[in-house]
Amino acid sequence: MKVNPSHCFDCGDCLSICPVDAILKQEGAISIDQSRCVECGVCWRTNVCPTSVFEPEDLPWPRVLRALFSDPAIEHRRTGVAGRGLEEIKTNDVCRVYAGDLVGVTAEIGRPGIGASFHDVQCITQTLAESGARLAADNPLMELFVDPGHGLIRPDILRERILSVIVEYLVPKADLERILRILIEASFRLSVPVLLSVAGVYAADGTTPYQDVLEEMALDCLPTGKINLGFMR
Amino acid sequence: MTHSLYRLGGNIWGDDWVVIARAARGINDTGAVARLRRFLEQARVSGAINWGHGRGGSRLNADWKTMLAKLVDLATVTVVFDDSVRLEVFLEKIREMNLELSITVSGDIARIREICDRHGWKPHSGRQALGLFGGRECLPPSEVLCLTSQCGHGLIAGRRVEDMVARIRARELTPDEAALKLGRACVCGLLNPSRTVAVLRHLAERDESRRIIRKHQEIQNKYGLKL
Repeated sequence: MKVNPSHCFDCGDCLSICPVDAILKQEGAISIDQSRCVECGVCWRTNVCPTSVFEPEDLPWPRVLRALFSDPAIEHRRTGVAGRGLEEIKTNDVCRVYAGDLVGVTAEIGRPGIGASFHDVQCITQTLAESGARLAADNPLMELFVDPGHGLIRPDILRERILSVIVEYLVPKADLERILRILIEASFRLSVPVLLSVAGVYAADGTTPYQDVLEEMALDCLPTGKINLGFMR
Repeated sequence: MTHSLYRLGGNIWGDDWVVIARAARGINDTGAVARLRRFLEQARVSGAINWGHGRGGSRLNADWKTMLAKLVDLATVTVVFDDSVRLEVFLEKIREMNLELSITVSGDIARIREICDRHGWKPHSGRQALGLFGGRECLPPSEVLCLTSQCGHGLIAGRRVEDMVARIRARELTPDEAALKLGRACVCGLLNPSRTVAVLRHLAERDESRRIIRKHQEIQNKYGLKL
């Protein structure tokens, strides 16, 4: 994001709009801390500035990745989905990515509102690769691996910051507890927050493949979640 | 995306439901724009309090016609309800309309299951939020987090929430005006304006709010963000 400080009339309304606190006022002039900015576009899109101080610009590689993973108005080429780029359970009654005893395990790194680097993401993917967990293929992140088998991301992008990234693994129920324990341990090695979730299909008796595993692990889950109503079944 | 999964704050600020409509890429996405449009129109007459999609904006930052005009076949369309009765009537109607879209509801899982049971719907898949792990020291206080987590893409800044509270206290803005300003950052229309007004009013009106926030932070750290 570019700024035109000469347009600024010092109202100060923009200073709080940035989710990663990248808008600064120094010696009376507005500027953007480019190392913090994740190119989410909020400062520009909300028209917070009546004199259009903020102006989007063409982003070079690898900075363009910041916008791809942080601006929900931009769709990922690989999946056709904006934002983090996953359909996950939202179309599972049609796509059946999660089926039978297969559980989707996701780690959303950097959320809520803190941000993360691809280096943080690699810390998770490397650890999970060592555990033998299988990455879900339908994820824009897949294009950024140099060695998905070892969870290694392109070295030239590791310093790039994004608002959040979702890493997803498809795990057989029999292996779920082991993978979750590894993922939780890996998450706590990061300085950024990580949201974890599991997904699966409902059996005829209304149970899910992950339910008894979570109970056995005594994980104190949140009461919230998502349910695909199966209207397309 | 799992962007409506972690709306923190539970039911203490009132009902909070997100309904998501989507076509599957390469399977039933051809001509989905017309069906997504019907979904949105039905939500509007059924009492949804916010709506939108990433490309077209929301009720709080785009006009209705522009938002509809920017729909694409693969748009993820979201609508928000603050009333479970209205939600249920809406879902019944959507079921009858047979829009050939996948419909997902986000919120309190037990209550969504109750709605399904009442109507004999057999839910297909579920996603369960496990909690917040990793480094949490840099997170804002829980009541601020309750609003920043309203935008699943993380576009609502904690500092903006504090700014709005200060401006309500200074009588520069009403809670409704502040909620509208806050909601403009949430491009998909996921923010629940009723909840936002309630939380902002609470934060602004209580003299002891800062002390309470610190207390909540302690509880949050102790028990792992289960507020």
